Order: sequence, then C-alpha cells, then structure tokens
Amino acid sequence: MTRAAIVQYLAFVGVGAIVISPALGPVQRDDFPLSPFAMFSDDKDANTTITQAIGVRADRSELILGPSTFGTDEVLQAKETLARVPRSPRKAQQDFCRELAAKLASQPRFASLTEVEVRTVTYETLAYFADPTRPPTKKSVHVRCGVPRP
Amino acid sequence: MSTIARMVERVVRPEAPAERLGALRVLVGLFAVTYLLARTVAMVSAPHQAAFRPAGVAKLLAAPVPGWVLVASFVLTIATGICFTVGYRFRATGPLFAALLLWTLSYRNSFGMIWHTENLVVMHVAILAFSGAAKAVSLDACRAPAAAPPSPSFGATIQLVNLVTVLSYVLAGVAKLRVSGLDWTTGDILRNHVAYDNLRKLLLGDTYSALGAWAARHVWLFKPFAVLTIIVELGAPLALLGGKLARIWVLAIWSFHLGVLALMWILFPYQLTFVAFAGFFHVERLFPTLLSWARSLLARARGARRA
Repeated sequence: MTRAAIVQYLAFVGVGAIVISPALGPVQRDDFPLSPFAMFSDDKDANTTITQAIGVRADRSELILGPSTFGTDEVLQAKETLARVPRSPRKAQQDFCRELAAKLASQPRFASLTEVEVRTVTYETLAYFADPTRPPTKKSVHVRCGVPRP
Repeated sequence: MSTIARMVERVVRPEAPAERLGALRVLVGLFAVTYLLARTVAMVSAPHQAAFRPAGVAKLLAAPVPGWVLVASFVLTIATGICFTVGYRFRATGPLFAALLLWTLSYRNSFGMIWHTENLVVMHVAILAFSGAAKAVSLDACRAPAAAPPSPSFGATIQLVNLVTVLSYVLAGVAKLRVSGLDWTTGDILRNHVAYDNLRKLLLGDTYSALGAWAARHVWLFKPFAVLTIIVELGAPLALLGGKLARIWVLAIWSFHLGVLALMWILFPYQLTFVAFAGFFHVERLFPTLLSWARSLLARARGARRA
C-alpha cells in the first residue's frame, strides 16, 4: 500500500469519527458545524407557547408583527428577541414597546396601527389547525403602548 | 486482492478523473458564494448582542465582535470564495476560504439559532480546500504543464465529501431513535413537529406551510413518511457504494427535503439544488454539456442576427 493510500484511509476513518463524535455526547448538545442533528428527534409538547408582538388597529383588529419588524428575516431570531421581553424588568419592557411603536409609526404600511402589545399565548397545537378561530388556552399581556402619531 | 478489499478500495478511493473533483469544487464554491451573497444583510448586520450564544469557532470569543469586523471578514470570505470557485492560487485561497466560511457561518449561528441547512457546505468546503481539487477545471490548472491523469486520490476526496454527507443523515436517524425510540415511526412525533413548526411561524407572523397546516389534521399521512425517513437516513451509507444505489438514495433524500419544504416551509438550499449530492455523480460531464449549450445558443443568436 502506498503512503498516499494510507493517508487516504486514515482520513476516511478520522473524518468519519469526527463527524459522528457529537452522537457520543448528550443528544441535545448542538453545535456548528458538527451536530448530532437532533432537531426533529424529540416529541413536541401538545401546547405551543409563543411570545408575540401585535399591532392593534382602531377597530381592535390585530396584526401579528413579523420578523422583519425586528430587523431580521430569521423567525427564530425574532422569537429570541421577543422571548426576552417577559423576563425583562418593567422599565425594559416599556422601552422595548416604545421603540417598536416608534419604528412602526415611521412606516406607512403600519399607518392603521394605533397600539402595540407584547403578549405570550398558548394554543393546543393540533386543535388550532382543526379550528383556527379557537381562542388561546392562556394569554398574558406583558406590555402595551400607543403608536405615536403627529 | 480479495473481494472485500476491492469493495473497500472502491468505497474509500475509487479512481476518478481530476475533472470530476474540479467540477465538484466549482459547484460547491459557486453555491457557497451565491448563498453568502444572498444572505448579505443577515451576515453583516449586528443581531441583538444579548442573544449571543457562541457556536463553533465563535466559542473562542467572550463577546460579539464590532460590526466592521463582520463586514471585513464577510468581504474576505466572498473574495476567497471566488478564488476557491475558479481555482486561483488554490493552495492558499482554498484553506483560507474554508477557515473564513467556518468563521462567518459559526458567528451567524451564535445568536440563538443554529441553521442546520449550513453544516454540510462548511464541511464539504473544508475537505475540498485541503485536497487537489484545483488540479483541473481551474485557473491553476491552466498554468500547469500537463493535465492530471485520473487517480484514486481524486476519488478519495470525493468519497470523503460523500462520507460526511451520508454520516450526517445517519446521525439524524440515530438521534431520532435515541431520543424517541421506535415511537418516532409509530407515534405522532413527526405530525407534532410539522404542526408545532407551522403554528410557531404563524404566531410569529412568518410564512408557514398551508399544506403542512392542512396535513396536521390527518394523522394517517405521517406514519409512512416517518418510517421512510428513518429508512432513508439509516440506509444512507449504502450510497457510498455508488452506481444505482447512490442514485436511488439521492433521489429519496432529495424527495425528503422537498417534503420538508412542502410541509414545514424549511428550505435546505444546498440539498435541494443537488449540490450537496454532486459527489455521487459524474459532474465533470456537466461542464462540456453546459459549454455546448452555450455555444449552440450563441450560434443561434448569431444566425438570428444575420437573418
């Protein structure tokens, strides 16, 4: 066997071992680029709890404020940003709400919004898709503020 | 050489032309650069600093880096990525691109979310960067005195790329069985994931899959998908044998990613463009075909102008 062949066999075994190494540790310990790829492995809770930002119109109809409102196209980054609100002190919550409202006030597409609300809602996941009009099983409003208009 | 030894040799270091490895480098490089450019805003914008949870090589950092470092490293990543793709001074630019890509994507994955759509491309670039992937179909090869003959060394690199691909799927299959056991195939886990992922997106005002939302109401739909998913993931190593088995597996796993897109609105661009699986094919044939298409288009355009 040539030296090149030995190196190639060693590389095959070595790289293979490195790639499967995350499987030897706790399955939920994720990293990059080596990963146990366990993202779809566990069962999900029957309920989905999410903190969301809502724009409220004068007629009390609502608009969910999507990730782009928080300067990202990544839904999980928006989720992270919003998930911090309930854990923040009251003053930080109010600042967050006021900053968000000021941002909305400067964008014509949000001209109809009069209020911003950050709240945590819980839905029974499968039941929601059977009947999307069903109200959340739990709802807690963390902060509410008006959209400043000239 | 015994039959087993021949089979092992065929899996680890089959003879392959330099053009195949070169074409693979071009495809992977082109994908990586296009992907980075398409996500420029996300790559160079500073996410919420409080969310910093370093992943990969970003673990070396104690705090987020200033914005100008992000922009500078992004520009360098693109520049070296172009050199990687065209095979220019590859011995220097290849490893440099691999390191910069690892850094750029590790950093982007350090803010509360790891994009599992990016793991494979980083690992593939790293393998190609330290190989003779620019011995053909490259600017470096144009300066070489003679064309490189077919060799098991080129095949060994391609199989290393393929090995990383198949092992990633084996890991995903093993994780499902480790965490949930056979319940993953017989229970409602897949259905619950589809429903949860779509509801989460819907409640956060993001695009979700209407098909997934509809499918979540039909329990019987998911069990065959769950069984097939485990079979395709755990059966991935068979693709290393090449030939028909590899083509069947690639088609199966590509269909799986198409299903993920349709049901969960999660896009795996590296896989869905087939670039992640290019190592299983004779991709060197792609370039003469593309060249002949381009030539015939040009000839037609000239003919039309004369007429």
